[in-house]
Amino acid sequence: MELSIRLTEGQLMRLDAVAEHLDIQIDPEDDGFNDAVISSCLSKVAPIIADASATTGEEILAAVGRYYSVLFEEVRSSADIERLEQKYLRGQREIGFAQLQNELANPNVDALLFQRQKAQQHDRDKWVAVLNLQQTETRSFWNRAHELSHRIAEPPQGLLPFKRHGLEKTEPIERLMDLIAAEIAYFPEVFVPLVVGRQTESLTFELVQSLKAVFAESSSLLAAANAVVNSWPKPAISLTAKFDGRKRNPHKDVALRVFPQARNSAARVDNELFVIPRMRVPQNSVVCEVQRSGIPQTAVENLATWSTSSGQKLKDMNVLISATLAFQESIYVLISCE
Amino acid sequence: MDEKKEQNNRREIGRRLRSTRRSRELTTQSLAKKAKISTGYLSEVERGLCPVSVDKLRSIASALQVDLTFILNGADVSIRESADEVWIPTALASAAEQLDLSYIVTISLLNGRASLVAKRSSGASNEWTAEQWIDFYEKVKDFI
Repeated sequence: MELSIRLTEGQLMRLDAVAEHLDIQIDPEDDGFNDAVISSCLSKVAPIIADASATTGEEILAAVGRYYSVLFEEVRSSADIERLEQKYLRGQREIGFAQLQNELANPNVDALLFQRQKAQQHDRDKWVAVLNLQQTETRSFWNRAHELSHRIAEPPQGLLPFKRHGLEKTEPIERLMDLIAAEIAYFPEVFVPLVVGRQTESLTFELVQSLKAVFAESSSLLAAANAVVNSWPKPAISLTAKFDGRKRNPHKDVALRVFPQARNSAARVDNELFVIPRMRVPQNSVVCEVQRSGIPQTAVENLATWSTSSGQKLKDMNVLISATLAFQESIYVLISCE
Repeated sequence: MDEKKEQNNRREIGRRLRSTRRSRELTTQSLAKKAKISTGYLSEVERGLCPVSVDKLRSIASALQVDLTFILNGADVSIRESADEVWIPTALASAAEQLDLSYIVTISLLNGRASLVAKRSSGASNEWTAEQWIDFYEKVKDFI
């Protein structure tokens, strides 16, 4: 699974179940497992998306959800929880939904997936994914894709010899689902032509916002930026920047530092474009200017002005840097070769 | 035996080997060394990609300290049997005793709880306590 950490027996069982469900002949611990899983999932959803003639992310997720009998329910207030309890608990005697109130009281819970016990063969809501949007709307699109990935990649719960409660986002299976979700949410056959069609423009957050508005309005800006970077035909990377200290001593040398989020295949060719995780942003960079002013900006900069505390410099090359202020004082950054 | 059946059989054997190896906390390298076969070959056997002789299987089973018949015939029957068994968490058993619940109601509670099949959260969740099971029962008792 291209992981340096040792997987636990439970984690391996989950990944084995994915391999078996998708008929993948690669051991979960071996290189190439993730790629094989993603490829298999994409081959499953491709005909569904084609049949639905889906042209946007919203249409893609709706079509895949219908096919896999997953209904999405959105919770923004306690009234929504009451509505779902009325519908499922009291209306359909689905007692699992009595857990809604307690589970959604926890702001750390993004989504819940229920497998209805009393569903009929032809019901379109055999699975109900409840999205917790009480704190923020930004993860709605992503979480829908993530929950669908569970349905596509894993056997139904009844066939699993174990339960899936209390899974953290750092779990290997959850990270795998995120990889699948990224590909399904921004299905390459639909999204890449859309991005490539705009390649004469500069890679800025204005462009990302524009593509997001066309393809998936409910997507978060960061998820959209990462997807655009991955589909961009020229070398590009996306980053976040925030004030932080050294890795081993977070209180030492606190400065605006960058954290890589996505790097496209063109950037990987001959290591054409890269940044070093946690390196400091130069004071004269447009990224610092955005942090000071709060106004989105774009500028051409030479990467050689970026250096680590040990003096290691980036390539001597001009790049376009676009930055915008995000929530919690972090900054989203796009770096691309023109 | 047709080709498809043989392939499935190989994969079943491979799965059993891999599962047993992991339960013994052995790496493919260490098991291969014990069984005196190459790591690559063992890896292929575990994935059901190549046929394996009974002699080789005996050697692997011996290294794993399991019976050859288990590797060959597996625990299919016992797995099916154990799949029908129901494991009731201690806290639920305790709640059921306090509330004097019938077996069917207890299983309904267990299934109701299990219908929440996945939770995406940035924090780990703990097993329910008996009090939480009792609270759950109070909420759902009219719908069981």
